[in-house]
Amino acid sequence: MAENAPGLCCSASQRLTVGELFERGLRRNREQELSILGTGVESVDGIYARFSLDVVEGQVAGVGFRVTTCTALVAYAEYIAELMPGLRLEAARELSATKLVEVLPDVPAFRRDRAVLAIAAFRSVLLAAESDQYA
Amino acid sequence: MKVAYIFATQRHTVSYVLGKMILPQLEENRHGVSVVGMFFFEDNNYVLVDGNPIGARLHKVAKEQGILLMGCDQCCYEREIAAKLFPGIPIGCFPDLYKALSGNMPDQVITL
Repeated sequence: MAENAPGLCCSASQRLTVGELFERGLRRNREQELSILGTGVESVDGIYARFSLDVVEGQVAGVGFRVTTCTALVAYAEYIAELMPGLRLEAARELSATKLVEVLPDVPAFRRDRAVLAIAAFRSVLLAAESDQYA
Repeated sequence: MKVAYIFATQRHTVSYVLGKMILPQLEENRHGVSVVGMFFFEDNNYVLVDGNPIGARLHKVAKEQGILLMGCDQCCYEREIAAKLFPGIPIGCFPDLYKALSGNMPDQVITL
């Protein structure tokens, strides 16, 4: 079973399972995008991901996304969105697709390419944020 | 005629309709039609968990007769069984099911 995420809701820990990340991610996927937009990334089979960020003094203040409603992709995107707030941009860049796959071992091998897609889209928005920061 | 079964309701759908009607008929080659696929929703996915006795028979007959077995991915993730299914059984949603069946389309889809 996956470890618990930081933060409590109604005295219950938020769990990092694909099912529960997907539930939370579906809501975030419908929210308004944040101030810094990344470039959308699309796989050959038409699966799409784009992240958005709010950054305050070099730290991630919020993460949003628009992704195809593939369960694994939404779960990966939501994991990124829950993990990143408070991290500096340099630290945020260290998250890898391998780490995503490790965190959610329930995702079967043939769906783990979604982790690569999510990380590519997330790195795109980090680049946009860094460009903003030094502009 | 080729059919696909969608196991959408619960209660005795798997243990009775599948386990005591469809599966024995498939094993005895007297089901009457060619079954090209089966898709499982909600708790019906537990039949696909490796070690399930009905699932083991189903997995065997599916391999022998070329029947696609697929679990609903959200249902499996929610139950934390996605990584515990019989080897080679995929999970997916409607686009995956349609794509998987596209090379061997059923004439009828039966929802049970």
